[in-house]
Amino acid sequence: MTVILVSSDNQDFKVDKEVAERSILIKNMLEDVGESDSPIPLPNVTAAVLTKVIEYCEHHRNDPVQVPEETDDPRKRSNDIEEWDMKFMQVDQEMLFEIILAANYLDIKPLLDVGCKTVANIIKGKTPEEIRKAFNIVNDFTPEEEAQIKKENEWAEDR
Amino acid sequence: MTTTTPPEQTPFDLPEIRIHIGSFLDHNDRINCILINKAWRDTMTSLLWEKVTLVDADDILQTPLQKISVPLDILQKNAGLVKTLIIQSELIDDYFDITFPILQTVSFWPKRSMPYPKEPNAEAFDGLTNLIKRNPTISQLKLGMSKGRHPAPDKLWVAVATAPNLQLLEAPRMRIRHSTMPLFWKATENLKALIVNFETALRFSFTADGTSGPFLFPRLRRLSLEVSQAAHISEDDQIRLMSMCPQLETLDWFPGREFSPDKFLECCRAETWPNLEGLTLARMDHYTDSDIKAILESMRKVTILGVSRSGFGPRSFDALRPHFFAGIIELDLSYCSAVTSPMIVEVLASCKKMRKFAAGCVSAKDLVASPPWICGSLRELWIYFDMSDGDAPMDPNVTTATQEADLAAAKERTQRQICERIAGLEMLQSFSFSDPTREIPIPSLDLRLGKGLELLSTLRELKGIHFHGTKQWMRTEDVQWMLDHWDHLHWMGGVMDIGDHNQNAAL
Repeated sequence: MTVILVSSDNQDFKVDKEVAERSILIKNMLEDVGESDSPIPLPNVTAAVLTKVIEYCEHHRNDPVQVPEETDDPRKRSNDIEEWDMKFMQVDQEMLFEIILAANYLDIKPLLDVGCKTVANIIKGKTPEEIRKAFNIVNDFTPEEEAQIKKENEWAEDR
Repeated sequence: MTTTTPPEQTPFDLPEIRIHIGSFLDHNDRINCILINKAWRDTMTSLLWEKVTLVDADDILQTPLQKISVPLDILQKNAGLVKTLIIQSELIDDYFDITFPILQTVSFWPKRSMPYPKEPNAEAFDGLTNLIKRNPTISQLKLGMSKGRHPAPDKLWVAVATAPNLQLLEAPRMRIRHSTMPLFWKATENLKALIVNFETALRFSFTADGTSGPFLFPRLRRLSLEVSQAAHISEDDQIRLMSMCPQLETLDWFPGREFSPDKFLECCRAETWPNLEGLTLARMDHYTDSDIKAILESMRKVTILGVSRSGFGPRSFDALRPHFFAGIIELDLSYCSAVTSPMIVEVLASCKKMRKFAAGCVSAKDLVASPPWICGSLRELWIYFDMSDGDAPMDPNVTTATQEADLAAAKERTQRQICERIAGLEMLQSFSFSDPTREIPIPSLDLRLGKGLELLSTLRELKGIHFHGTKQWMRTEDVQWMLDHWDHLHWMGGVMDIGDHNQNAAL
């Protein structure tokens, strides 16, 4: 069974139901709508991004549904991205951001994880200024505020 | 693309995404993120302060990154963010005066660096009592007090009893005065989970008028009851305590000595615990196959079963089979001599949700012939291998060189097939193929490079590997490969090649 997804710029995408349902948002929509054939509008996702998202879901269509971890230590690893996913994520930063936003909106947890891990890997080892530069983030601290925070967190740093 | 369009939403604008990214960062990176901008500061700061471990300042240089001794004023400033507090220091009286508005879990495990740890002194208990009183949000309390001669003072139990949100109490090594028992029962009667190890040599008794308790435990879902031998608590009392918990879903019972299965079985048959799903018992030498079958039949659902050293056998296995797909998660059949190789193979091929599995000896022939393993979520596995089954009986006088070569090739194939199966367990954290029973090892799995070890590079989560009692001798290059491919490897037990003393030290 196939479904039709419509991007924000009005492009139609015909997708297997099983693939589309990797998105929990779409899955829930389909359950609500029932047997109807009507296309599903996705006003927050452009065609370019939706193409990528569908590509990811197609590749991972047979993955088992993830079970939430019950470990005491919630710290997770970002160095375990599989090869296909790594290549998939070799896009420009704008697309990377769009994919993360789309994965968040469409509720596709594995894709969101991969996106966030990719960003985490860029952040690792960088100073705050380097991180700002990498992502074009504006520093909204006053110099006094910055100095204050640095001082407060001195004790926490690993020597 | 264009630089003149107004800034659209980036992922960093969403707090849940900042938190998600932050969850993949280590401590130092999080500190760097605090300085990015105000939004990042807020998110990272709350991540940083969710879990705080307090250790003696002297320990800083020896402890890993997570354990940081926090200056008092800074802890006070950020007290509103702390959800979990782990106390491993005794020198922090003032800290017990702080109020933590969202505190949920307190782990009180005062350690001392001296070789002979003394029991916590009265001040430490005072501090803990104060902390409990000040922080009504506490829902989990884990007391890991080292062995001591002095029981905790009564006022601690009063504080625990009046803690309005307490759901879980973990209190190993309980020494409770006889006179304090009523308070202890009062403190525990509304809990959802109780993990306790009675060491005290005193009895607890159930008076007819019910004043000394315990009463019913109406909310208790999880009970872990361990009784040391020295505690001299009668079997009747232990059973009676357990049978006062009708809502029990998980029960661990480690009695101090062996009892006959009769009374426990009686409870099972009487449907004392209609919601029971998880059961772990110790001292099971007298439990026969039929006994365990009876227990299983009284359980509507089985998710955890620990029956090590028992008579678990074909009848119990049949009783357990209906629960395989429904969701058995942990199964401990270690040291059960009636567990057969086909049983082990069937478990591996049928139990989709299994996370921990310990059993006995499995034959290579059975393994290779079995349907594919579906236990892809397995975290811990302990089985040991008998590779000798695959051999056809051969008359040594008649074997030719080619026959021997064929035999060797077949063995290699079997080896690789088994390794391939193990390689499919990508979430495996602990793998043991130690053989605990034999003094002279049987031919076991040869897990070295060239024989199948290289197939196991998929086991990226592996923390420990054990192979005691097997013929397996690891060489330097095998161990080196392991260290290269298994980032999280912490422990390894078994025999190494003799010539490697220097390398051993280095590793």
